Amino acid sequence: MSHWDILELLKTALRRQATEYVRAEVQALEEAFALLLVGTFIGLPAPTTGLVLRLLPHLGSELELLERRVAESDDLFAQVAGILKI
Amino acid sequence: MNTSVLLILGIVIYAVCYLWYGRSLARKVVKADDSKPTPAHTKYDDVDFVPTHPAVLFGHHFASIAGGAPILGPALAMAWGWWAGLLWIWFGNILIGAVHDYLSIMASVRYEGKSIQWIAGKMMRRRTSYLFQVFAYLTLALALAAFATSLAYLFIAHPDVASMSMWFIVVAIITGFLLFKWRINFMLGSVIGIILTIGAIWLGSLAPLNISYKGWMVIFFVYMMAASALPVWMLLQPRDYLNSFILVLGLVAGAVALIFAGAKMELAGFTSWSPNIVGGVPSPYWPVVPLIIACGSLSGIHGLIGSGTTSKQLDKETQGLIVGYGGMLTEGLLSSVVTITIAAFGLLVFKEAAGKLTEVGIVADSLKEPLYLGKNYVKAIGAVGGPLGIFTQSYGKLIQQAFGISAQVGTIFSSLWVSAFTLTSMDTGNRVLRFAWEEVWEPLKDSLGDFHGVITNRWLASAIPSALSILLAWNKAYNVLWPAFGGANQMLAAVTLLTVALWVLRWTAASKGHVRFIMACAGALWLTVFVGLWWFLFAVPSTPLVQGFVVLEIVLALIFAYDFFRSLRSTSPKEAGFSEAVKP
Amino acid sequence: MISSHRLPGSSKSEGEKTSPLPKRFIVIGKGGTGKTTVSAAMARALSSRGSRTLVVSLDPAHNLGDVLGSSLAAEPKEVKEGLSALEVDLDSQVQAYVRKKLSQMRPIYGHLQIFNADHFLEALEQSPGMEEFAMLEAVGEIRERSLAYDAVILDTAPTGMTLRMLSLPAVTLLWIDNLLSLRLKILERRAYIQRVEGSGKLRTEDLSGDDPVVQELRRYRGEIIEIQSFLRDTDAMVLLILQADKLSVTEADRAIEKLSNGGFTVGTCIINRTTEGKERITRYAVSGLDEFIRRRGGIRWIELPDMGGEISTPQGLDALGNMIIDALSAQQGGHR
Repeated sequence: MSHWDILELLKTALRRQATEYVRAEVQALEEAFALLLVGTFIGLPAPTTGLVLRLLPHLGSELELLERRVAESDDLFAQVAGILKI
Repeated sequence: MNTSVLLILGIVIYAVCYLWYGRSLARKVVKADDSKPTPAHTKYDDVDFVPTHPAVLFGHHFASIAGGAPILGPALAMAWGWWAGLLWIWFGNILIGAVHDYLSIMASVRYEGKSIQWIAGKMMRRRTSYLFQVFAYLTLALALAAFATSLAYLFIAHPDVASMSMWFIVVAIITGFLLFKWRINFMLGSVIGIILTIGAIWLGSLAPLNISYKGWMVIFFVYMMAASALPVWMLLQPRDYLNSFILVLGLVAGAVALIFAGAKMELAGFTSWSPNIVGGVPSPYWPVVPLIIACGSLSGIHGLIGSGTTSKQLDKETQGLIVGYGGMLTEGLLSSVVTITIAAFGLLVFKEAAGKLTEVGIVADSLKEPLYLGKNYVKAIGAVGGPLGIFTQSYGKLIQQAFGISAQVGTIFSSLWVSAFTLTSMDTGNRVLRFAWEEVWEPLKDSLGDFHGVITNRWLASAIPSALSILLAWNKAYNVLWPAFGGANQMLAAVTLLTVALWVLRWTAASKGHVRFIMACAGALWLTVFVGLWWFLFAVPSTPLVQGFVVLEIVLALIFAYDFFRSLRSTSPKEAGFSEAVKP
Repeated sequence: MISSHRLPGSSKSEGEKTSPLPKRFIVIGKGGTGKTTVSAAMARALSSRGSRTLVVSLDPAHNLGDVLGSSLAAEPKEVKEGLSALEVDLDSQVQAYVRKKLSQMRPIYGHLQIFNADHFLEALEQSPGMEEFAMLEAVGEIRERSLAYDAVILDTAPTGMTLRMLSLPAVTLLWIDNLLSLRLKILERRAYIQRVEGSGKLRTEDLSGDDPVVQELRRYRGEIIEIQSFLRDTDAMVLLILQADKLSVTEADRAIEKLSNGGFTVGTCIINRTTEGKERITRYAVSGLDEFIRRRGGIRWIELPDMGGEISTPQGLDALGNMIIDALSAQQGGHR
């Protein structure tokens, strides 16, 4: 492995360390956002229907995200545990 | 026997066993096959499932599993003597701990990235998955309590460390602002953060914080609640980032120092079979040592972490070995460094604190004598800052002997190391604890009715878990809380190991020999922890709350064993309630 | 200060020109109090006095056409010179809006197969709040049309629905602001991650400039604020119609309360179909109207007589309209 590669890897690892928690947090925020908007279709109290309708064309990724979440919903704890440091 | 030889011996043993046993696991049990795409590829979503370079993944996994525990446990276990500790750290790790970590990651990889908790639920009974939840909750709650207690001991014995840790929090927050809000260039921001950290160390020595034990308990409680309410960019992320520098430096400097110093082992290699450790009562090496040395040798939480995030980022199957098995061995290396350091320099620390020791009725010089050490070690460290305190001061002496730098430097640095990690554990632990708390009560929703609503009320649910931990820590007994944590953690490990053993048995075409050996280790582990829990219940004086937890663990362990055997005997996967769709 | 049709009012004698009347009138009141009649009357009077007027019915009951004597549609129809009228058809509004949104969505969601389009369509139309939402959208359209007129009169739906509609902008703004703030937090974190891990200096503003959700939220926010101004500015007036009976008074009281919570001030109340002399006094006392007037000191009052059968004739309507406009002008003048 060349000298440069190791340096690159080190830099990558370092940068990963600096963003790991923020990544986990933004994931949670995005899910909250998706739920707020799209949750109306599973009966959650929601923003005024009109607002949801107007945003709906732009929410493709939010729906996919929720779909993924639903698929993984039976296995959440271990993912959450990933932020632990014991 | 000196430190260089011993550490090198440890490294060699690890390396050899990695190459021999580790590789045979990969080849003959897991049958790691690079042509089989991992879930990082098959379920790629650029969020959770992302193939990652093995070196980066190793770093990430190692950083996740290396907190304050690989330091605390071995520091406490010194009461048995350093040979006793090292034997478990080396062979317990190689044969059980690293196997546990490696196989839980690989099982998860074969199950499309599902966690070991989920797999257990499918392979055995649904309630098995719930069992994991309860054990995980207990592990966390007790870990936080034990950390809080130990940290308080350290802070009380060294008020300058306390002050420095608080300043470090400020430094972390400033770094967070630098990188996130003020958008300073990343490299520049990192350098500033490191410089500020050194500043915090200096500030700490200027104005030491003298606070009582109960005072620290309240502070930690408030800290846990406040820290976990902040956005992560402000404190948790920057501190964790700075911590990783400290960890690497601490480990590398420690290892190098041990090899250079070649110091003699001053404390005893073996003290007695049952020195006074847990609750001050004689604690037999078997079954108690796994309860004391958890991380560093074997730890159930690692299985959740590994199968929860690491497995989803594995690029190729063969890379699992270095990440999982190698990662655990590296943590074992860390614990080895801790043990050897204390063994070589602990006596010096005790001698320098002779005055404080006589106050608690201990003659510092006599600690050289094995039996005396066994009887009084735990009491002795209580006078020098607890298990964290003995380590940090020994570390300081080590650095001094190896590099000629004043012992202050090494002590201060390692103090920052342990306190930073402990505080991070408390922050992240509290966050996860809140979730775990609700998960534990969830299936009981119907039977509990209104009570459930109260318990999981938003405010209570965030306060109760940490309040419970602080309550546990109130009576100051880290030598009771830590093994209780160990019990929960290791029973979790036993459950995980038995689950992967079942997986190996049923789903991999592994050689019979391997399967039997893994099964045997798993069974032995379960039995050991089970006996340990009973021993704890009857031999150790502790509070009703802790005893209640232990009783719960015993009951759940039995339920698990029953479910496991039923699963074992049923030959067809369908019989065991296993769905065809999830065949790995 | 009550000005009755019998007293053109000393308040008019200030000698200056009549102050400009409000441009927009929102006529609310319990069903049967005479909203539509008042709206139509005012519209006719205003247009006779030279204002190009538009009168709109938001009431699903569609009485405006009957009162004006002309069948109305969703497009403005000139009913007499200077006066146009339209009736909003809520159902077709709702349908058209939902269909438009769904067709925009289909290329994105088709592959997800979550929605069975027909059922989804029906469900959305029945969503709680859809009627009020459609009403608000209609007001938005009216706002745009209003640029061509000097005066606009809104004959609203029964009080409950109207109050909900009027509170919709404020509630929606709350949601928009919350969603915006959450969305910006998300973008801020994504920018940080990209900055640290990847290329260059990405700032939140760069990301939010491209984020369609943020754009849409800001766009909608602007529209809502425009509608709010349309309904709440100084040149808009809420006219509350009531009668001297208990139910009407109680409902009016609650309505004023709710409206003021929502930032709307009711400047003027019209007491319709008043009687004279002793009967008036008794009625006012029994219905609680006296009490009401006393308590609501800041409100101006206009009393209108019961015109009986005459009200169905164009002349009767004009007479009523003139009474109202005169009284309003007087009050405006007096308050300078």
